[in-house]
Amino acid sequence: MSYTIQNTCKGCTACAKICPVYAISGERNQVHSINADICIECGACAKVCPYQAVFDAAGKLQQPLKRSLWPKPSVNAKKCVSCGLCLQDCPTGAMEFAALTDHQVKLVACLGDPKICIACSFCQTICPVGAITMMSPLPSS
Amino acid sequence: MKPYTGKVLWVDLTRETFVEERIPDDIYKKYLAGIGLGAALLYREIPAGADPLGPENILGFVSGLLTGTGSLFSGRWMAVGKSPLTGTWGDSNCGGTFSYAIKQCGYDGIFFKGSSSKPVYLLIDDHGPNLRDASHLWGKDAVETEAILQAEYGGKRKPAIAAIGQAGEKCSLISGIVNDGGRLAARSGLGAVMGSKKLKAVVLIGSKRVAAHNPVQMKLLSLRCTRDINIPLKPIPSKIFSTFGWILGKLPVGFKMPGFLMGGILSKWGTIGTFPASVAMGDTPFKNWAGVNQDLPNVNDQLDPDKVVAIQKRKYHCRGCPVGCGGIVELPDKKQESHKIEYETAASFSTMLLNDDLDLVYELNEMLNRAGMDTISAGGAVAFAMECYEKGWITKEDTGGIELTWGNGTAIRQVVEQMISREGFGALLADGVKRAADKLGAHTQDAAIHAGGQEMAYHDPRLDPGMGLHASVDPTPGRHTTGAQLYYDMFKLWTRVPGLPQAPQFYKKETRYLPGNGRTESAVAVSEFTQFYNSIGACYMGMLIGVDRVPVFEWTNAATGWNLIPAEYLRIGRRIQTLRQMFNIREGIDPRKIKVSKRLTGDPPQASGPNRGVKYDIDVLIQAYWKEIGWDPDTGVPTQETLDALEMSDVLSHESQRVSQ
Repeated sequence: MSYTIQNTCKGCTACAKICPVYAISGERNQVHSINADICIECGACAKVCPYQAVFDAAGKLQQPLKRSLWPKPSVNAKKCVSCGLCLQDCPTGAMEFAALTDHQVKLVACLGDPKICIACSFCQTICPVGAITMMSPLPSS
Repeated sequence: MKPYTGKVLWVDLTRETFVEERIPDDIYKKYLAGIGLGAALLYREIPAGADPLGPENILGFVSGLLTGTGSLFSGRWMAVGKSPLTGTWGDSNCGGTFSYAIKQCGYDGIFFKGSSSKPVYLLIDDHGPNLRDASHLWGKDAVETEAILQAEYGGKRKPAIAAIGQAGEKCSLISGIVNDGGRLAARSGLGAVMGSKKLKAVVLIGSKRVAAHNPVQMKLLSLRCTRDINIPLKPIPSKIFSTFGWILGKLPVGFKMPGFLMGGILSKWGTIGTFPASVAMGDTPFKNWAGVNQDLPNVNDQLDPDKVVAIQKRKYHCRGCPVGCGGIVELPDKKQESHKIEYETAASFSTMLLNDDLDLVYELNEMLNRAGMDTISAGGAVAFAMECYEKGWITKEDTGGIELTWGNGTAIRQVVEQMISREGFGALLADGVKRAADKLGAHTQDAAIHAGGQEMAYHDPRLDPGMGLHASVDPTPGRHTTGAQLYYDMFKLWTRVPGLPQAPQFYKKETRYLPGNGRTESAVAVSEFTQFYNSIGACYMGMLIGVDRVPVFEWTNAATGWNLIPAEYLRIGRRIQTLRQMFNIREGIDPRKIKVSKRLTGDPPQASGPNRGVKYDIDVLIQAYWKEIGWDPDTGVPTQETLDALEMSDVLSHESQRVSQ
């Protein structure tokens, strides 16, 4: 299954630029398309589409969302078991390990680079121990 | 969604072509993934009698069934193929980040046929596979190779890379495949197969995902597991285990060993945490298996796990592991990062050679990790040479002036360097002890300690004859990871599989050496379970915590939706074990000729030490095992009734259905 783009697309290229796996192609000002074999259903394209032209894999039209309102992963360091699955599943490399020093150096997952996080929530899904929660920013922030 | 991708990739290095093969669901149900899928496909694809270092042999990289599903302890990948070291089925297991990366590229396995005329590496990214020129990488060590490729392809997301070092390039039969900066799929000599194909590295940068059938149940199981294995050992010094081991060695009775402490020991120290007890109780061999722990009385002070982890900069977890037995250390005087030494490497370059210089062990560990050479086999080969030197079978003239006396650190370093570069005297040892003894003459055979050509890992079968049994009967001989009596105690399979015998709470030590009292049934169950967890990508160290705390059967059901009972998973394990044995039979291997060296059965018995006077008949144990698993007790060949009962005709009759390219 894959996300798809309908012909209300204006070819602004925003989706192609944010797609972490380069699954979207098309000429500027032309309707773009998504390669279903490559799409990982992260939903980043839909969030940035100003023309509401993107359907999810279930065929539901997706709404754009202002980037400042995208939810971000919050890691509960006490729950994190340092297994690293969130790092490996993160399609942009936004998740990193940070050192937490106690009797020995323990690594704890964290959102290393918020700017490249695309709010796909893959990290929350893969975390085996429920240590990651996607948190929406407060409206005032 | 499914926990497997349902596809494998065949790469023909001769023709530079790629073929994707869809794998039917029923193959996963019968052989799972990982080692099981690898065995099913390679039994079909490798022609009988193939030269292990020729283009007909196939090298596979396979991921586990549970890898990437949110289960814990399931980040292991396996290299599979025909072993050039033993001529048998070969497989080798490793952790790190590579297993999930295989699936992220959209495959459960990547298989290499043929051989390239020039050095190449395989790159798979979201747009598919590509073979690239690796001339600029040939000759470089595996860690440097990985660094170069990381610099080329790594951005915020780092690719997973497996590569060979100089040992694999030179087709050393004890070379392995290296990933994550120095972790090795070390055994079976599969690094040489990669080198023979001129395949320098595999670079994986995929983003595809798999998922469990029941992700909520997966999370609940994982949460319960992390609670059950959390046994903190923070205030306990490692030396206490030396006393514990000494007491165990002195007691006239043995008792059921608990696994629940394993998580704490591994988390705090890593596998080296088991070293003090092993040394004290007689598990760790000394002086090429002919010595005793009093031959190096200070080794537990010098290689104290607390000292080993003192230079640890940070812990290292394989993907999906909550324990993190690995560690990244900074080498003394070198300001260079390296992986923390493992138990096997410590034994290989300390007790086996009567060397108690920890810094030298660290140095050799890094040297061999970079070269991609198995530290178990390399240390065993040096120990063999030292015994030959001591007995006058080789002289300073043969060694090129190297004084190969026990504990001589300079000599050890020189020989290991020569083994890596295949130069001088070291070239003799670069293909392992069996071939070295073949060249030196029959009189040296007793000092060449191996099973079927594979150097024995460092757990003494005179203490636990189950180690000797499994090292003899498993289709990949000479391993410590294929089974032991101790493992049955720790796996606690009887808590999940009704009908399996409970490990006795207490027993007279001499009963260990006989097949009765449920020993044989439990040995077969250990083999079955080992094949099962190697197929789901689980870690054997994690399994030692026990299936009562680590719910591998329940995870597998939640991931697949199959709802099989644990006994059915063990039956799959028996099918995989039997298929691997059938591979050997087809190769003309006589199972009766593969067994551990007689020194490991107490022939001659040791005069002192924890295992003094022990001598047992390995053939009795082997025959009982063969009978119990359904192989002919006289020949070790699986019987037709067993093959029929295990419903293996689908794979065994598929020789004519090879993938065409």
